[in-house]
Amino acid sequence: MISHPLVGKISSIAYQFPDSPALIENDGSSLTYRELQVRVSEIVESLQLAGVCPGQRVALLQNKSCLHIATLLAVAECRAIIVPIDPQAPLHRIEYLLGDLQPHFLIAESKRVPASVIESAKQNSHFTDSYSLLQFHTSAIANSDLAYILYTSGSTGMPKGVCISHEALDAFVNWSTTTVPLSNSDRVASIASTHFDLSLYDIFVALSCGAALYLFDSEIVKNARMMTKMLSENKITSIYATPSFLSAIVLYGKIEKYQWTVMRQVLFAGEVFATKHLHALMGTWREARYYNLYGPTETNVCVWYEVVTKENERTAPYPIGKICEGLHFQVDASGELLIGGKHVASGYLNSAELTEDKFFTLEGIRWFKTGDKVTQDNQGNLVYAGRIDRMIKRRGYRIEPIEIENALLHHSVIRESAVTTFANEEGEIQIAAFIVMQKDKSESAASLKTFLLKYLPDYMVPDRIIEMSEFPKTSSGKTDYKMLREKISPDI
Amino acid sequence: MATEQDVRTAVRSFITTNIPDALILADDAKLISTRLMDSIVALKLVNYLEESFKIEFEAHEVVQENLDSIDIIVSFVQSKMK
Repeated sequence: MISHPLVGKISSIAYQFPDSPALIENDGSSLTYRELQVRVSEIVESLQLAGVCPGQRVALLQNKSCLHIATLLAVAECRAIIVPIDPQAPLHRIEYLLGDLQPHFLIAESKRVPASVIESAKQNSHFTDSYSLLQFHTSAIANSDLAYILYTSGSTGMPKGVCISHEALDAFVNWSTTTVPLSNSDRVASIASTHFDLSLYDIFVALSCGAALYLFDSEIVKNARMMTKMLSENKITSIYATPSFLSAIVLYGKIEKYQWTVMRQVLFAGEVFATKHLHALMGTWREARYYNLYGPTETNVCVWYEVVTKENERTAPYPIGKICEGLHFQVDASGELLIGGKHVASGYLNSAELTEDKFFTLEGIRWFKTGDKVTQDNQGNLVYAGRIDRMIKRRGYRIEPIEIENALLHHSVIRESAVTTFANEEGEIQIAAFIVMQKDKSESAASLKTFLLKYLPDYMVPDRIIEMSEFPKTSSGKTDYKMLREKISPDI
Repeated sequence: MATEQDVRTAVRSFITTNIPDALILADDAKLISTRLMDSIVALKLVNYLEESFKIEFEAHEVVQENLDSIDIIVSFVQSKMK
């Protein structure tokens, strides 16, 4: 079998640097490149014995670990489609995703597999002691050109799967290894979960360059105090994270307590980085180069900007920058950014209508309408200027408010729901949910938040839940979101 | 030195300012496991307690077990002040 090109690169690193560390977990357990290669080969053999074929969808419901990354590479090597699913997501959500995906195989930590999924699996067999491999009989046609499906918040009220082709993944990795390369001497922090697109850089660029990849699980990532200590102790040289994560390091990590001499590259994406916090970081990680990367999951990184000067008086956010080499962009009359070229995804799984609405092909080039508004500065850099729709970007996550509104309506006491955003005293974006309850019913905000955790990941749970007797309406009778926004302020 | 009541008042004051949905919260009500307090507010609380009571949380102490209710926070802060 011809090796998958990206896994092939990692194999050649294993010949070049067999004893170099490849993956290191929080607890110190690790795999060298030689060990990783052996592990991947073993898993490929198991997958092939189980019947995994090219183009089949393989859902991975695993915590971030050496075994998870090895499994993910093995799925790639089988030329099957990698679909990482957050094992911490509520069971309702996991069941929805698996129902939408109709995976051919599910590789999961046994305890996170919902009973209903086991019920629907026609066969199952033990994979290792702690993992099970469930096989499904799915009649859907294999998508042989897809490498990945990543689920993201959906404007229909449910998550949607973004289909990423091998060509798009290869193009992104090639761009990254040229523009923001890593080497065998790098120690790279893997902050993002593997169901987010930021992780593609960590996994495929770091490992194909022979770097040591430090895997931090989601619980540690939430604790900025612990993360700062671990970044320092592990002498991390490169990090790709959201501005929210990096701001938390600045604000709460006690960053000044540590010596920082080796951090050389800081990549950030997903939201605007408050210049005050970025400058504070630049003042501490002084030797590093800073890159503002831009791109929704549907294009991965497509626009980039190197922040080279520390202008202390600057308060406006830095631009998102210039289009990546080989890609194309247009800004339409409404100010919406359109991206074309090889980084662009194929479309959405099971959503032909939405795919047709957001993607198009022109003269052989695939284009995506980002929904982001941009302007251009006098150097020709693109500058982010908000959304054309209601999508919320908070702490690096993209959230469709309708998903939260729908989840609230699952509660029997809630008659109407409307979600909007506000800024707290620190200027951070917060989510407010307004609700109208059924007559003579009541429920505390605390218990509603607990209820929402059954349906939504924790980053989608609103910061405030506010009861109203009825919603303000526009002249056309629709919920007046502008009025709702005006009702909330940090002083409430 | 701050009394238990001083610590309790300070924690309550922080929580009512930063988590308006928790205005009528009992002192033993869970904050993190119910998602009333998210990870960023928990980190803010740690900074606030450190400044107010001249204590220092070690990195491994910034965890749910030490921050999950007003009662738990008060008792943890008191143990750090000894």
